[in-house]
Amino acid sequence: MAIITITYRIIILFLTILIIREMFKEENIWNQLTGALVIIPFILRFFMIK
Amino acid sequence: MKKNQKIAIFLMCFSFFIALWSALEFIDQWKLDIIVEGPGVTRTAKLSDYFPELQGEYCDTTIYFLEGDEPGGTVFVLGGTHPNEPAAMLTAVLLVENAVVTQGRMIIIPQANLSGFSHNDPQEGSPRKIHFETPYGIRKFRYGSRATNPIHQWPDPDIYINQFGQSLSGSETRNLNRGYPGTPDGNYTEKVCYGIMSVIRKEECDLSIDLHEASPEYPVINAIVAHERAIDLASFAILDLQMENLNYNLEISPPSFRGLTHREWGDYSDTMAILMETANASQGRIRGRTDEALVLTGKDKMYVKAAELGRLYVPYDENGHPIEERVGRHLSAIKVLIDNMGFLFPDKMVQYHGIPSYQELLEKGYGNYLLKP
Repeated sequence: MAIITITYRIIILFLTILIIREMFKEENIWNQLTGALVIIPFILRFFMIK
Repeated sequence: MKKNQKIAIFLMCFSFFIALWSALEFIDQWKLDIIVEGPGVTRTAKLSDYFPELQGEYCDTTIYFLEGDEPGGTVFVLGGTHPNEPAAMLTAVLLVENAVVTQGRMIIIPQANLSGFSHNDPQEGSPRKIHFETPYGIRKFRYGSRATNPIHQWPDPDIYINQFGQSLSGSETRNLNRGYPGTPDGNYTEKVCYGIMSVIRKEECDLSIDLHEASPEYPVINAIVAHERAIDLASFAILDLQMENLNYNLEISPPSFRGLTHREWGDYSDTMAILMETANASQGRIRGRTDEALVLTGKDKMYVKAAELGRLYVPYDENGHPIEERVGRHLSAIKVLIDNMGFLFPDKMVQYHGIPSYQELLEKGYGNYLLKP
């Protein structure tokens, strides 16, 4: 696997963890929902499914 | 536990569920289509047999050989360069499952850009599969994307500079019909191009035909695009097709339009290179609802309206352009090209049977020509 792909996946994993962490800290449900939607493509990209 | 944390857990489960559901659908698109070896198939090979670096890669597509007992010419037929142009792939599949060659050889690759079949284009609303009723049940094929799957070739550059120094939009780096003649140390798509070029060169193909479809509003449609060494052959073929009431435009391959089959196959091998187009509404920009019915029937009221306004390059009415018509046009053109090659170059004669006529295909339907797996 190319180094750029590995780096990309590490960045995605890092961002996904940050967003999940933010979802737990966030009090506004709409912001939590936004976070939930954002991590869907991140999960698919991390596993290189889409 | 606080209320917002409970909501976060619920939403996270929701996200993972949606991701899993989507993933299963995307992964289902990776499963290979079933193509049955017909009575004329004498052997098969893989693209990696011609370019070993492709071994184990998803793009390592299957090559079907239909060989006659008597020596003659060699015809190469390529379908699936653009997997969102289904008549091209389906024409090649029909040849594999039905044609029998008695003199010369036919070499067929039904799914040239196999990676492109493993996904489809975002935001196009394309169906994932197309289905055909056959005498024994349903056969299905994937409807793919114009380009290689980004999970196989990533990332796209902002600008794709091809092997000739020409600048194209970044996504064209995954377009199989921009990467010829290919290079062994190029990107994923260029390596597939190199593999296909190797087939043409090693098998000394006399005539090579790349099958396509185009949007009804695209000028090069119902057309044969020929390399300069194939112009005489294409001209004879078009006259024969007109006698069957199948009108085609003859286009000469532009020398400056680099990276395409009709240019590079001819320039980088001794083959006579031909590219053919039929009308496919499902890839057009002004289409309405995009579903399997549109792919198979071509019926679309927006295109009827566009035809009334004189904006199209093909006739378009309520009857659309069904898949049988589009595959039938490709088959008829392939037959007259092969026949005329034998007429112009008697030592390159290719004789065959089992290929349905245009009328037979319209009457019986495509599914009737698919074999039982």
